[in-house]
Amino acid sequence: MSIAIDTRSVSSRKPSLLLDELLLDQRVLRTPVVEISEHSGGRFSHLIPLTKPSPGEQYAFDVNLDACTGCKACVVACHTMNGLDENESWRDVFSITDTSSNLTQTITKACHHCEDPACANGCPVLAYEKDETTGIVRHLDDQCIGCSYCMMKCPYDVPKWNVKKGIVRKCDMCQSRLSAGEAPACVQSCPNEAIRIRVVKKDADVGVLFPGAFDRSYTQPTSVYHTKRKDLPSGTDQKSEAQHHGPLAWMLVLTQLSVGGILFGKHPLACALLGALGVAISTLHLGQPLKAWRAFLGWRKSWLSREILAFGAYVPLAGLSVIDPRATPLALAAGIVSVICSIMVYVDTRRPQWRWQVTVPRFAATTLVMVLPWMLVGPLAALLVWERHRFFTR
Amino acid sequence: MSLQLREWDGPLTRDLVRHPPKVLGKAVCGFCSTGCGLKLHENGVVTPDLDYTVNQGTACPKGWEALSVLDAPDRATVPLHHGKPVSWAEAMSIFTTKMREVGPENAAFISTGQIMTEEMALLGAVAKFGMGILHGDGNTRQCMATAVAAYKESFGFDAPPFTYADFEQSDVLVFVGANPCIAHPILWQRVLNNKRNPKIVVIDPRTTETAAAATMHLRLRPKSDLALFYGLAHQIIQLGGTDKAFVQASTSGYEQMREHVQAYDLDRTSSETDIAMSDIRMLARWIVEGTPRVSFWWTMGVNQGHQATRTAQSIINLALMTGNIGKPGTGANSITGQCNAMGSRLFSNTTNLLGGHDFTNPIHREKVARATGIPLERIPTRPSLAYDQILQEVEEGRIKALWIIATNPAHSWIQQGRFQKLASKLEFLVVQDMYHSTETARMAHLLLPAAAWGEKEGTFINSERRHGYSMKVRRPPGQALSDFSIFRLVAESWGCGDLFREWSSPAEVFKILQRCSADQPCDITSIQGYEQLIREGGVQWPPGQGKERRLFEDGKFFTPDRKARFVVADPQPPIETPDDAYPLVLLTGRGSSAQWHTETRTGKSQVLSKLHPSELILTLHPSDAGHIVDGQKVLVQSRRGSIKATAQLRTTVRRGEAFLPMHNPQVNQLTLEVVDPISRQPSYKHCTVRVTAESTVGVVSSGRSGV
Repeated sequence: MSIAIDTRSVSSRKPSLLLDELLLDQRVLRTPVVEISEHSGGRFSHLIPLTKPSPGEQYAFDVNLDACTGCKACVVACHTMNGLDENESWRDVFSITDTSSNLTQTITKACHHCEDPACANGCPVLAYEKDETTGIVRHLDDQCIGCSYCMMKCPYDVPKWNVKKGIVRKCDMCQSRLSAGEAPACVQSCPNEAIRIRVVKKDADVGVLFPGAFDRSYTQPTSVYHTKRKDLPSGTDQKSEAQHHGPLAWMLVLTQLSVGGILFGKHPLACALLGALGVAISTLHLGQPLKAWRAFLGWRKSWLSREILAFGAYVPLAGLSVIDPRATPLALAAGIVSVICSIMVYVDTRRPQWRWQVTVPRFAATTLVMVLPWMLVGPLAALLVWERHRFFTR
Repeated sequence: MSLQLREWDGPLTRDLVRHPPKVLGKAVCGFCSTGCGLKLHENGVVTPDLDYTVNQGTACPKGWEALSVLDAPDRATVPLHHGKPVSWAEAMSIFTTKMREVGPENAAFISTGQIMTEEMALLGAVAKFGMGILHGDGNTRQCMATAVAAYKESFGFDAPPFTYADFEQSDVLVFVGANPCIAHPILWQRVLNNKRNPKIVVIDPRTTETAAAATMHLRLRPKSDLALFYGLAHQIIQLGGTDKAFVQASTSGYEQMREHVQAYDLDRTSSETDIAMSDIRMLARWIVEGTPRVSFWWTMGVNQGHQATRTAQSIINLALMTGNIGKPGTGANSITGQCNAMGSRLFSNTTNLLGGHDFTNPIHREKVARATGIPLERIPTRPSLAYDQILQEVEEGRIKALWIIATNPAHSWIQQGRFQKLASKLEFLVVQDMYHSTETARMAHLLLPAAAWGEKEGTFINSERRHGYSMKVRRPPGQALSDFSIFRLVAESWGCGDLFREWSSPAEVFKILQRCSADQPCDITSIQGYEQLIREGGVQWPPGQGKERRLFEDGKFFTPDRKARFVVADPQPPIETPDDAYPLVLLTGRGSSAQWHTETRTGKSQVLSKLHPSELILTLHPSDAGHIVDGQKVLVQSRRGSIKATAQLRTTVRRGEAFLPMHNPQVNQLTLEVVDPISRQPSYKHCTVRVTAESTVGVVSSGRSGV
């Protein structure tokens, strides 16, 4: 095939004119020709209950495992429909695989809106609220001080840390959508209708949540997972490690050394300073330190709140004991209570790596280190901080 | 600082955006061929279109993130010449000068299934009719060429017969080499919508997500499909399952097929496929009992193979012999890969002349000349070479310039080492892409910055032949231009702009393509412009009554005698088979629903990146692991390359086999360039490797007996 093109004659039309026209046209947007519906309306209303829960009932996620194929549309829909940050979603999909058999099961999971929510019980500032009618466990983002203790308390890895905002955020079952008769983001996004909202009875005995999930007696999660499969693989739920634990490692070691110092009659000023330094460092792990003054609010249920209160008493008493040795027994008592609270903060998470058999010896040993002369305490303290890092990450 | 005890509301609480911002427009998704309708909002938010027939208000993760991947620091914003910014005028001058230096007869283009139909048509027209480039092919060669070749020969035209409603109306669905749960999640939605309690059969060497959800999973030996389908045909004949009236009236070649499959008795079929005789018999019975509501669905596991076309036809044979075609819930159905693979097949002007015509047919050339106003003598009289043949020409120094549009062969082409070596021989490599960072863009001598989906308008054709419209709702960064505009600039710069005066906008080109389609099976002349596509939520070719329609309801096919053909061949072993040095068969495929091909786009979304492992995972059968433990770093070596991965020991692969996801840029260092001789589609799903622990040199024992 021969192609003979007379370029001179054709390029009489200046290319730059076309270029300008095309660059300009690229800036012109096409406006919608038709009115576009913005909301789902009642499209997915068959996936949510028609009525509000009666007393003794609450809303819960109902997951049909047989319909979940692991496409993860729910994860991204949660991200988009709630306007979350770039990598943030309150829903996770993971799979449990039994390597000995041939079985894999994908599991979609958001907040289980527990009857006895560990997150709320652990929160030192009452940044969680369990709605009396719906049972939805809502997180108050503006109340949160970013201590991330709820992330350690929740055995299902539900509260998510938001680095940018310095707070935790979590699923609220798209409360505002539900109250408007609209399905939550994950519910309406599932191509296979694997997720629904339904009303469940409280205190219902429904067995394990899903294979490998944490013992439900701790928080009484309300989600219902069902399957026709008789051979679900066993597996484990993933748990993320504690967030930014560096300051906490220092805090624990320094305050425990401080209390041990008082116990073994070390120089009161050194002890008071160690304690004060430890408490000061602990605030570095807060995302919203200016709001931390509310930390007393949760004392009825939260060991973290109690720990903060105890240290709040211990540090001034330790200081007082420098001036007046008569305060020393009081300071020692407050110190021991503080260390016990520290122990309980971790034991109360019920995570195996922080069970009392692990935590008590470590924290007690740190306190007892002060029986040694100062020249040995220094290097040992460094070792202890390193060990405490491992305590958080193992 | 607030002194309230509890703050129920405040800036952090209000930070959540529970109501998506204003909708700017609608578009058919630009990732896969499902062709979901999406609503495009302000601030890069996307939600699924509730009113669109295809997806009915849902989308997979990629669709939800379709706009956010456009905001990336590595978007191409200005033309780059050897990495240095140049103006568009300079870029065009360099383009024209270099292409003329090399000569259009020594240049080729590689198009894509990722741009609009109107754009690929303009590209094919400008390159071939305007510039005189003879050879151009698309990345659809990597995914759909086999289905095209099979349909053309069996049906007389590249005509996937189905409509998505067939998923819902079938009693037996047979998926072959397809994993819709992950690759096409919204099609799986349609399967689950089926209220007829269907039997779902998955034929796949791997226990995929779809296999796990199936009623029956046949774990066949990789690439033993021909024997299986011939064996099934034989069983069906024995069970008296042949639809004699349909075969008589609507097909030809049945007798030869029947004789051919005689040899595939249960013993042979079972021993060649590793599938139990009872399972083969049971599936044959299900097909017979399920008739006339049995549908067959295939995708890359079939299309990518050394005998791919014949394999696809062995599936088509089953549908034809049982009369499972042209009725609700039936069909031999190829699920397409890319959003506009079908557009590329019909309108890219590469293998076929515009509108599914034949370059070698003088009547077709005259018709297209009339429809387009292009002088007849400018229409080449032979089709392009295929992708692999173009690369062969590059390797041998006959093709010296390559123009690659919206595809990333430096990552995706099979046997990567060879591609990279031959591409370095090119005198002129032009890459037109929305990112300057793709593996291929980084090799370019000249990079042309392209606007993306959402930043331009046009139409796609999905798997069920539905033309759908995508709106332009955003401005691209910098001076990036739509591919359409770039092709117009090239035409102008080359000096053939006058030929394409009428091709002034996508809407105008759509009209031209309509004229090209006249009297073809894909006749779309009756579509009333983009308005109808928007109003009706897409229109399937050829337009008819209702929102969904299938082909061949009258039992008439597109062959000259209007009869479908049975086509058979003898199975051949794969080119590379396991031996002591490389004892494992490596399969590749999609990793997750959040990843798209070479991840040039999906890799930009942080939320999508959370949804799959960040490291390359090699799935290995525990019996092949030797001393390798789960999670260990391993070396995967083939005769062509060696890459590192993390071993995951699972019985989801068969003994003697291993799997790697294709999205990782290194995986194709291992694959072997074998193509189906008919469709010339590469066989990504069969080569041999050995796996060793990274620190040791011991070879993993072969788990396979008898090879």
